[in-house]
Order: sequence, then C-alpha cells, then structure tokens
Amino acid sequence: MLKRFPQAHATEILSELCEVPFVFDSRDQALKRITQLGKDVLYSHTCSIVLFDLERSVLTHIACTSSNPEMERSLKDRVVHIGSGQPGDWIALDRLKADSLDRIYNLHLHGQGVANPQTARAHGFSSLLSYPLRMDGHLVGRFNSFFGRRSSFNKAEEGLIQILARLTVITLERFDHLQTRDKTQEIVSQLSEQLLSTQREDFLQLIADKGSQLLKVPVCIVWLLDPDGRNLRIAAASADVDEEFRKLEMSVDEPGIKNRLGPKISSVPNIVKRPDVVNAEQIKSRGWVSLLCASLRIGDKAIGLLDIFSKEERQFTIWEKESLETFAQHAALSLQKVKLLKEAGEKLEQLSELMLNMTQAGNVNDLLDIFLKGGLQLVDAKNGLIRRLDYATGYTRVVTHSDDPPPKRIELKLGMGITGLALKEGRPIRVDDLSKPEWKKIHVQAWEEEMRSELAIPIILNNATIYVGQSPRSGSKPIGVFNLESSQESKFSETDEKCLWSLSRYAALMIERLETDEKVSEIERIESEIAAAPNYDEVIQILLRGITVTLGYEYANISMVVHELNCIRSEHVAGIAKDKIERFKNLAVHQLDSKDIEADVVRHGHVEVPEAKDDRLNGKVISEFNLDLLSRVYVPIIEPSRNEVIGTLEAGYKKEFRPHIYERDVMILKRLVGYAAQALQRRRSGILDNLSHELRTPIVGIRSNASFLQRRLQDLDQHKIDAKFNDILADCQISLYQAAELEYVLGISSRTKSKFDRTLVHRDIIIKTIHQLKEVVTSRELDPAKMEYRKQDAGRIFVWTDRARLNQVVYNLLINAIKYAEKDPKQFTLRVEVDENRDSFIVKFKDWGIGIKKEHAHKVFDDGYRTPEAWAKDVTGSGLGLTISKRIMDQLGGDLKLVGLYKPTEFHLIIPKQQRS
Amino acid sequence: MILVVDDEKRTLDSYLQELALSGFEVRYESSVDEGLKFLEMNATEVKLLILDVMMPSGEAFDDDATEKGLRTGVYFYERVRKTNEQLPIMIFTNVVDDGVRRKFEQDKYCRFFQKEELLPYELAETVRDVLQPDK
Repeated sequence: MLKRFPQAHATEILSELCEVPFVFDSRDQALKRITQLGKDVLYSHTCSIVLFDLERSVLTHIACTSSNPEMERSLKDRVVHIGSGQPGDWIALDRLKADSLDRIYNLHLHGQGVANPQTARAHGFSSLLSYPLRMDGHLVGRFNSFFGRRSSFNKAEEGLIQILARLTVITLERFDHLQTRDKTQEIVSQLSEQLLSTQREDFLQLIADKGSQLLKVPVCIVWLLDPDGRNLRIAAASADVDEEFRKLEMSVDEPGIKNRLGPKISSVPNIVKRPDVVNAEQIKSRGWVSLLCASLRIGDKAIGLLDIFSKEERQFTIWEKESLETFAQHAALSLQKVKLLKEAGEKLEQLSELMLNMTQAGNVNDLLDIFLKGGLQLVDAKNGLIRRLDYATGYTRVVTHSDDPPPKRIELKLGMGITGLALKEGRPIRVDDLSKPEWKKIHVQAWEEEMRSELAIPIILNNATIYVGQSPRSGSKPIGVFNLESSQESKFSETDEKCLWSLSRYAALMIERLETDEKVSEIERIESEIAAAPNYDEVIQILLRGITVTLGYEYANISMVVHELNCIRSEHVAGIAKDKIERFKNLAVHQLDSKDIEADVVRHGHVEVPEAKDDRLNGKVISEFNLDLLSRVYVPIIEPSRNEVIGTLEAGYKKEFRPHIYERDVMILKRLVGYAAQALQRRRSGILDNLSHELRTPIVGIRSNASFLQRRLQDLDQHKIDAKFNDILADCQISLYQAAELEYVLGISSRTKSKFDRTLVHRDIIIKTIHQLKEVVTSRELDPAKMEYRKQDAGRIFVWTDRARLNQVVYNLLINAIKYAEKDPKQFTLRVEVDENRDSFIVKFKDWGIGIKKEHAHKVFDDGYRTPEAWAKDVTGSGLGLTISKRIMDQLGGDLKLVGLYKPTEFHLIIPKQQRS
Repeated sequence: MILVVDDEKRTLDSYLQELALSGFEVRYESSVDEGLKFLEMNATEVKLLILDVMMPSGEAFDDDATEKGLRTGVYFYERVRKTNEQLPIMIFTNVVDDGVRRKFEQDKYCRFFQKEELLPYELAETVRDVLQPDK
C-alpha cells in the first residue's frame, strides 16, 4: 500500500499524527482526526477506534472515519456486548472472544469472519487490520482498519497501524490524565470546603469516601499511625469495609509497610499473586484484588496510609497514581489542619472555662492560682510561675508557682531575664532553645533542672483609662509576668503563646477589677476609721496612711487654702524625709492668683496630672525633692457644704515602674479625700454648734447684766453693782477665749503672729486670771480664796513670751478646775506652784476636783475630747481647751503635761526660760 | 412661786434678781435632780416652771437618752407633764434647734424663749403675762 502512497505525503500525515494527541481540546475530536489520518495513510475503507469496558463486558465505538458515510454514522457511539453473539458485531464471534481480544488481527472477513459477512459485504469491505490499545499493560480497546478487497497486509502496514494505535493510546491517556487531574482537583477542593465545618472523625470518613470516588473503586481505607509511631490502625474506611476488617492493625515492622509509608506510591495489581502483602488473606477473602497505596505525609513524616482496592484486577494508570498521591498529600495536610483546628477548638473551650473560673475568683491570689494552673494545663507544661511587679522597687516577685518541683524565688528587676524583658517590652517572648548564646546570657535559671525552652507572657492591662493633663486617655499598666519553662526543646508553640497572651490580658482585667474592689473595701474601712477619729489631726493622719499604705502612693502633700493670706500652702506631707518637711512646706506656698498648678486646681476644682514640662510647676520644689521622678496627680479637696475648694491633695508614685496615673485610682482617691473633707466639715460643724452656744452664753450674760444695771441701778447697793460689773468683765474675758477657740476651729488662729512681751507670769497672767474668775467661782458657790498661789513665787517667773496666748492657757487650766470641782464646795481647792529646772519654769496647777480616770488620760489633749465625767458636770464646752493650750505651749517652745489624775489633778505648764526668737 | 431650773446660775443671776425685784417669789435649783425633788414636794405652790434645756442629766435621766445632757430639759418637761398637764412652763435656753422649739410650741401651756430674746425686765413682763393674764 505504501507503494501507492507518496513518501512526502506519508511523512506529512505521520508528522500531523504525532501532534494530534496534544493539539485538540476534545478527546473525541482528536480520536476522529486519528481515524481520518489513519484511513488516509493506510488507504483503507474505514478506520475506527473501539474501547472495552470489561467490567460491563461491552465495547463502544468512540471514533470512526469511513468511505461509507452510512457506516460511519451507524458505528458512531455504538455499544456492543462482548461475546453476546449478536449478528453484525464481528468482535462478538466465537473466535474473538473477550479473553482473546488482546491480539493483532490480520483477517479476511469473507472467511470464517470476525464480523457479520452480510454487514461487511453491505458496507463494501472484506479485510481487517486491527491492533490492541494498551494502557499500563491493560487492554483497553482496539484500532481497526477495514479494507475493500485485500488478500494480505505487509509489515509496513502493520507498523503503521501500531503507530496509529499508540497515538490513540497517548491521546486517551492525555485526556484521561486531564480528566483525572480535574477530578482530583474537584475532590481536593471539596475536601478543603469541608475542612472548617467538619469534626476530625467526619473528615477522616470524607477522605475515605472521596478516595474511593476519585479512582472509582469500592474500597478506600485510611490508616493512621499511633502516637508512638509503631502501629497503623484504621481511622476511616468506605462503606464496603466491614467491622471485622476495621479492627485490623498493621505494625510498621511487618513486611513492606515501611516501604508503603515511604514517599513513593505503591501498587499490587493482584493480591492473589502477592501473599506477602500484610493481611493478604483477609483482603482476598473480601474479593478485593488490586491495591494502590499512598502514604499520608506531613513534610518528611508519614502519619498514615491511604489504601484503595478494586474488586477486579486493575492496572492503575500513572495518572491515577499521581492523582491518588496528590489526594493523599492534600488529605494529610488537611488532617493536620483539622487536628490543629480541633486543638484550637479544644483550647478555645479550655480558655473559656478558665476565663469563667477567673471571673468567679474572690481575690487576686485565687485568680492568679487559677491562671497559673489553668495556663500550664492549657499548654501541657509543668514548670510555671507568676511574678508581680513591685511598683516601688521595680522588682518582680514570685507570687505563685507550680509545686513539683518548686522554683527558686529569685527577685528580678524589671527588664532582667527573659521574664523581666517580656514585661518591660510588653510582649510575649518565646524561646525554643535556651542554650543559644543570645538567650543563655540573659536567662535566669529558676528551676534546678536544666530548661531548654521558655515562654514569658507579660500581664499588662491595656486600654486602661489614664489621666494626662486634665483629660482621660488610654494607656497600659504593667502588672506582672506568667513564666513557663520546659526541659524539652521547642516545647511551646505559637498557638500556646497566642492562647496564653489572650488569657493574660483577660487576667489583667480581672486583677484590676478585683484590686479596685479590694481598694474600695479598704477605703470603706478607712472611712469608718475617719468617722471615728477624735480630732482633725487624726483624720489627716488616717487620710495620709490610706493614700500611702492602702492606695500605694509613695508621696502625698495636702495643701490648704488660707484666704487671709491669699495662698494655698502645704500643711501635711508624706514621703518626704522628716528633716526636710519644714523646708518643703516653706517652699510649697502658692499665691491663689498665681499661675501655679495648685492655684489652678483651687480655681477650677479639676483633677490634673501635670506633664513633665509644665511651667505652672514649682521648679525648685520639683528638683530639690525629685518630684520629677514621680507620676503625680492633683485632686481638689472640696468642702461639701459650700462646694468650695479648700485645698489640694497631690499624690504620686515612681513613674519608672508605673508610668501613668489611672482613672480608677483617681476615682478612689477622690472618694477618700471627699469623705475626709466631709468628715472634717461634719466635725467642725458639730464643734461650731457647741462653740456658738458657748460664745452666746457670756454675751447673753453681759447683755442681761447691762440691761439689769441700767434699769435697777437705784435698787442695788454698791456691792451688788460691783459684782455685776465683775460679772460683765468675766463674761467679756470668757467671750474672748471662746473667740480664740472659734478661730482655732476655723483654722485661722495659726496665722496670728506671736507678740512677745516681757512678762511677769504671776502678776500679768496667773493672779489676773484668778481675779477675773472670782465671779465665776462665787456663782458656783465655791470659795475664791481657795484659789491659792505662793507669794514667794509671785516674782520668780520673768520671761519673754506671748502674754495673751499664755493667758489663754492659764485661763483654760483654771476654768477647768472650777468647772470640774467636786459637788461639795468645801472640797474645792486650786493651787498654783512654781518649780524650775535649768531651762524652764514649771508652773504646777493642782486641783482637788472630780479628776480624770486613767483610761481617759491619754485623750485629754485630743481635739474635741471630753471625758464622760466632764459631760456629766457640764454639758456645754467644745472640748478644745486643752488641745489649744497644748498647741500654744508647743508654739511658745514649752509644753503642757498631765502629771496627776486625781486629788490632785495636776497639770504642768513648762515655760522656757530662753524664749526662742 | 416660780421654780427656775438651770445649771448656769451666773448667767441667770440678773434674771432672778429682776424677777425678785418685780415681786415674784423665785426658787432657783441648779440641778435637775433637785428641781424635780422640789417640784414633787411643792406641786401646788409652784405656779410656773422656768426651765433650761442643756443641763447635766443628773441621776434622774439616762445620759445617752438626753444626748449627753444636750436635751435634758426636754426629758424634765415630759416628766412634769406626766403628773401635771397644765402647769405653765417657760423654756428659757440658748438652744437654737427648731425641732426642740416646735415640740414645746405644740403645748398651749408652754412657751419657748431663747435667752437672747428676753432681757431681765422682759422676762419679768412675760412671767407676769403668764401668771396674771388679766392684769
């Protein structure tokens, strides 16, 4: 035939034939073109391609080119049952039975033929040249060429038909691959879609189902390695796999398993011929024949196997193998993702539970214990501790830790060690290998055992409201660190870090909430202390203790407004060395109309946290007392009754370790200061009530005496008139003393400058006051003559002193002796004696009145204190007399002491001989 | 007879003298215990009681109940009213508490005065009005 065929044309046809498998988009078009070119090159009547479906025992004509258009139409897509003996189906004849299809035929159809002779004749051909199509060694179909009248075929023609058959196979394989690839991609994408919404067990089943679907096999089994990597167990299988088979295991040591777990895909075309295959008997007994096996791998590590079995012997194509390999890779990765997601899901669940537990913690210690234990459990770690930052020193101290084994309780400065670094930088630090030089040099060994990895999670309150200037902003607050260590390298994962970091931020919030609650309850306790405080000084001392000890401020300065001097000045200070307090107070005086920040706070009543470069700050005080190292807040002290700013509280702590002033703390501070101001005001108004009564009494006396004298002068004898005038003078004097007490309560007495005169104490003060009080004594039916002093003392005490103020002290001592005399007038005695030592005169006031009980002795100088006996004797009285007297003597450089309690009650007035300038 | 119960004799002295010079018979007691005792023994003779409020509670009254003496006069008044509902009583005090004032003003046989409201002669006139309303 080739003789009839021009060489150049044949070459051209062959050249085109070689491209056919790759240039068509459709398999059918490519195969059709092959039959066209085959018919041309072989000069035949008809060329056709048939494919066998041996499972269904049918053959299908998938492409045909014929000189007879009717035949071409009739053969197109024609399906014939193999071996059915149907007329007209040449292949169905006995001599070409299904089991002998895999041969080259070179036949003459007019003889005992392979086709129906009638059909052959009707279509006008009598000879057939046919070649089998094999893929991976399997017979899949035939390439047929029919001729009109040919008696024989030469070698060249046989060679040509072989070429046509191979190109047909290449075309089939290419499109098979494309189809397999598309299918693989489709299935893989279905797997991915299910990944997020599926539980791990369901996902494994999905792999089995899709694996079976991918290669159109009834059986797909997913084997997974045990955690110890020694045995494979079935994790999922397609529905055809019975329960008994599912119980089987394979050891990695069994023959061929290690190979199957390797990266290369393996296949066993017929289990029957391979009894060495593990579980071969069980496989055979279930009628499974061919095995294709791919390992499930994550990187270099196998985690399991994917086995698929066909029920007939099957040669899997290279495309199918590649497809299964791709599928297995994807399945393994997806499994890993599912595992991670599951772990993440489980962790999320654990996290939620932990957070719930934290919410229920009653105090910070319990909370930190829950955080520690839960955190360790969450990341499956053993060694852990929590440190808290001491804001005063900057050291982090272990507050709770794992017990087995306990860590060393080393204190670390902020920034020291990996722990300190994490807190300082405000970020978690995860170290996979502590032996690396960069970590080794900063790692501080907390456990005896050598640790290889560490995770340090700072506990930081983020988005806390802070004050900057007068406005609230957002800032952070370092609280502590959660530190985990392990002797295992790379123990902590990124997920661990993220989980604990989330938990830590929640813990920080809870710590803040609990500590605020604790502070509030502490404040309530302090408030009750303030309510019970006996005097102004004690209220201030409790307030200062609350600010420093309870609220943790290291510095506090209470300044009070003095309107008379148009200034606000420091009155009470904590956190400054005792010997420097006077110096501080001298410097910390601010004019109310100045630009100083204190004056601003008084004018506007706002809370303010000054920034570093604020020109309203007193530079001298700031630098001399290192206040620039502190974060400070100014809080107005507001008197509630008048809603007027009466002073400021300035409080601060080291900014190095706690850079901000937090709104919650300011609220607590304001509450405490407000309460103290209210308490002081209440106290003062109570005392004022009493004082106003005390002041009204002598004035009413003066007025009634004056009126009486005016109207009844002519009815009275001189003695009574004198007595009335003495009464008036005594009441005037009493009024003056009461006015001094009033000044003290109003806080304006201390501003009065002392006026020093040369004073003969007896003549100018003692005798004069005794004389003034004569009428008071008489009115109480006491004997004025019982107010005694020694004549020899009269000229002894000559000092420079503030006569008016010393007079007030003497008056207070004498009036007390009179007020609290025994009921029986005969027992009344008041004696004034003088003693002296090198530096001082000691004026002793002794009386034989009702006395002072021992249990009340320590309180008699307290602001507003009156003994029960004093109340019983005289319901009026401010309880300020002795307080004021003691203070006056302090200011005069002397002292007032209670020396004897009863019979006599004895007070010593210490007057310095050398009055300080 | 007028009974005056007040612990501060000195400030009351001009008032007592004015009452005496105005022709009233005056009995002064400086403690509530003595005052109650006198009133009990001279119930018919006493025609007017002049009473302070802030006084030591003495043995007659509980110290706490009288608010440490600040309201002793109130308790004295109530004790008197238990046996004598119509005895004229003048509260004469420096207490400025409105609550205390209102309490006494509800009683038509009782009048309330702050000491600064009345000079000695005004007290005498007021007493006269109380005891001899027709004159």
